Amino acid sequence: MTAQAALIPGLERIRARFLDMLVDRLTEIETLCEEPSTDSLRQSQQILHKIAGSAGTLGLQDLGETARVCETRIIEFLDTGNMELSQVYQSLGDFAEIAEDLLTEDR
Amino acid sequence: MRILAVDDDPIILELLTELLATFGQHEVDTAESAKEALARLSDPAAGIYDCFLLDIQMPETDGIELCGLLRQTQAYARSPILMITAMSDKAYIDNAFSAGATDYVTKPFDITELRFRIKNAEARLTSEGGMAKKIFAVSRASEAANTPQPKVALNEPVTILDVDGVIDYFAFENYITELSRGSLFGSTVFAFTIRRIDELYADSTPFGFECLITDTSEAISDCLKPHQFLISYAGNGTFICVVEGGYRPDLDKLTDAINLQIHNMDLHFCDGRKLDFRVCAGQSFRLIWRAGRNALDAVIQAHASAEDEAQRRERMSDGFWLTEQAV
Repeated sequence: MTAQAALIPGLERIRARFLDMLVDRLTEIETLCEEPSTDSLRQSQQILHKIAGSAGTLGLQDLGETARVCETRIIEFLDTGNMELSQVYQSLGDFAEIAEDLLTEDR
Repeated sequence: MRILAVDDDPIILELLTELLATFGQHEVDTAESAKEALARLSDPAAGIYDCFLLDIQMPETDGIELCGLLRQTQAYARSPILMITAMSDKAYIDNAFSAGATDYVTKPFDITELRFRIKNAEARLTSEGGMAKKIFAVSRASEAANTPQPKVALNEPVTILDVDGVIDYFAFENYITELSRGSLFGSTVFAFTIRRIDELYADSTPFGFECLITDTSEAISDCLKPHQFLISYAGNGTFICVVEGGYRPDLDKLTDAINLQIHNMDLHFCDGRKLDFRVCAGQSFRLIWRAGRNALDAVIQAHASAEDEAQRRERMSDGFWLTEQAV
């Protein structure tokens, strides 16, 4: 957590709730990506969008930035075709690794 | 302030509630969708909110649509609406301002930045006595004609509603100063001033002046289509425009088109006299490599050059008659 954020009372509680939700969100993304389709990737992108939007403020910059990269790659894959599915999965793998490390550390 | 925050992510809503509580005496309510927000606003027991924080990307009705719906209500026609966005795509931000947003904050929040934005909104709310005044709207024209109203000051940057691409001046400044250098690349800013605005102002009733300004803004807006643009009324009969996508307007031709459009509107003073007026343009300024304060300086220069041009043209007309008499 940033020094600035650490001064905000209640932020630690929100961070804990975020990490609880991250467990479910990660499982959901993994399930969705077992059988990739436009719909499953779109749903994954929406979950990643939420993670990217709040992780940084809670001091989880790496997680937020990796989620943003995944989100952007999925959008490019679905909307422009300028991205390979393999590249999308590579970034999803990076995200899952960071998220799992974070959750292990937290436990 | 009483603030309503709308976001489909419960973590963001918790964060906002927590952060806003540390910024000052703010009362924060939250809604997880536009539908929930609208239901809350339609409940008389919920009271009136002073400020809104709206996420852009939400399922069903998104934040931009919700912003537009709020602007259609009298109670929230000028309330500060800050868009919360993780969108780096400038098109989303443009659409949000076109829909009536006054400012935006990006996710993840920088706490200092969010505090500054909220203070900014609060300061404006305080200075304008609840945002309930100084609105010119095409849709309210008949209502305004029948209701006695005070005349706004000539130099006041009133808000004009219901005209495509026309946004509040405060929002315009936020838009220009907050966009990154890259996002402004290829944009051009310029301004139009209504000539002899002081005489027209003196001759007009409050309602007549409102019509003069809204009709002129409509003419400018019509002539800038189909380009991507935003316009703001800065007071003193001056409209500032920013156009994007590399479009470099021919200001002489554009001025002619606007003046023709105004002429074709066949406008009259409230007492039936023909209202005959013209606009003139100043210089245009490209915003390449300008951002933040530098971009705002370009706006100021565009504004000043249009007003200078209006004065120069009036001096020229006066000089012309003097020369004719001398001959």
